[in-house]
Amino acid sequence: MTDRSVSWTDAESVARLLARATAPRRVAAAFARVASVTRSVRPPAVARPSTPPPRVTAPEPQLVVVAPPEPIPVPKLVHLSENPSDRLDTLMAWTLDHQPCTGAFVADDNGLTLAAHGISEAHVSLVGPLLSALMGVRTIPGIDATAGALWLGNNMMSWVEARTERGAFCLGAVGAEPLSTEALNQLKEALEVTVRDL
Amino acid sequence: MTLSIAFASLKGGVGKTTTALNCAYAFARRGSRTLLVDTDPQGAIGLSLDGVGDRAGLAASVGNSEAALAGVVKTRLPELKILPMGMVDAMDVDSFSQIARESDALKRIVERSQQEYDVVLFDTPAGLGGMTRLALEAVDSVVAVAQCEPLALRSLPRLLELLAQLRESGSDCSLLGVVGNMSSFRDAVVLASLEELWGLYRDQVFETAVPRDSMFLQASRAGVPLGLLSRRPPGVAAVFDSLVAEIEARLGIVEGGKDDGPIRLVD
Repeated sequence: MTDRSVSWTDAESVARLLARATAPRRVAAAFARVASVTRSVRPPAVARPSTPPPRVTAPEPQLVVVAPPEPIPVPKLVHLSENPSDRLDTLMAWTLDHQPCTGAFVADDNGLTLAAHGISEAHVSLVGPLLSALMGVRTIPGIDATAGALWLGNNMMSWVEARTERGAFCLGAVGAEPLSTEALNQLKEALEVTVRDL
Repeated sequence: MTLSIAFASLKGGVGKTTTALNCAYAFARRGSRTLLVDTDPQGAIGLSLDGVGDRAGLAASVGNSEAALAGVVKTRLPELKILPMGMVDAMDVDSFSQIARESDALKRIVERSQQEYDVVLFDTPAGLGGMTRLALEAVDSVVAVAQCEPLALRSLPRLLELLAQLRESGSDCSLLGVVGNMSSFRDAVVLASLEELWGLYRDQVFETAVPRDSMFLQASRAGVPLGLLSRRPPGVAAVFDSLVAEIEARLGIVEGGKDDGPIRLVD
């Protein structure tokens, strides 16, 4: 009994709760400094069938199907290989399979592409300046700024960062909408698992 | 844009009202036009402040959205006003909450405060239903008040779970941070609780912990915020200046505006 914690809970459970209860604000705070997009982009939990959003083109019905109100559990990324290249490929495949994006990439903090699928090199080249710019944002107390989204004109690039002893790595996903906070947390966890001990 | 913050806890007696009241005072002292709203049908703010308990307050206007701020009471500080609860019969608490929900009373208060106030603070009753949930649905930010003792720590995840669920159902409220209340370095259990709070909730915990101090009882007895307990306020009153400075920093209020900056001591 003496080893039992005072709160009868554990750090992992609390971290999961905090991610759901707080991460949106933190991401949004950093996000607001990068792009003029607000929390209103979050999908409403209750469908409003009488007022369909005025989307531009045909994919609208598909969006409704792909984004149901109840979230689909995303399996955690599991690596079976210690080979860095295999691990990055696995991460790419997992991202494209389980997140609403059309392209994804992994880059280091110099903007050097380590893996990419379905995006242009220009997107990856944004990473270096973006991470440099966020160094200043992180000096603001309480601002984590290790995830966010950037409006690229035709689509959104959502990204997460993982820092290791060998520097920072960035996982980006490009799609029609910015990823949700929950998705960003999933990406972040997957990236951290991938680059750990690389 | 007016900022709206609720002080909440599942467990009662953790110091929500004391924290909300003294933070409201500190916000006002720092120059923010502040409205403190009592959402506790028991009228906790009215019980804490001399001269407030007999005011009509929210209870008198709860079903009338046009008169959402009709019961606002001025204070000695021009920047601080209070909307007390007023009298709600114990038998009517449930129906009061229902009327408040149907009339969106707390959201109306936030909406109608946009011009007149910089900050609206909501003191909430213990628990996560009724008026507390309404307050959480009405605000942007939530300060979780956690007494540094085991039961309060064990109940804290329940508040976070509710916040998460509200967010996932479209609400804008988000946890701003956790404040440790009634801390003490002389009691082993309290100290262990504080350490665990820091360990589990890490950077969500405000650096400022509110200590257990007899001055709170003195202020409660006098029915005043700590800062007005005497002409020379007790040192513990400064804790809330520190806490509010942290809250402001987390909300991005780091300066007083473009005209703010160092002020020469000697002209």
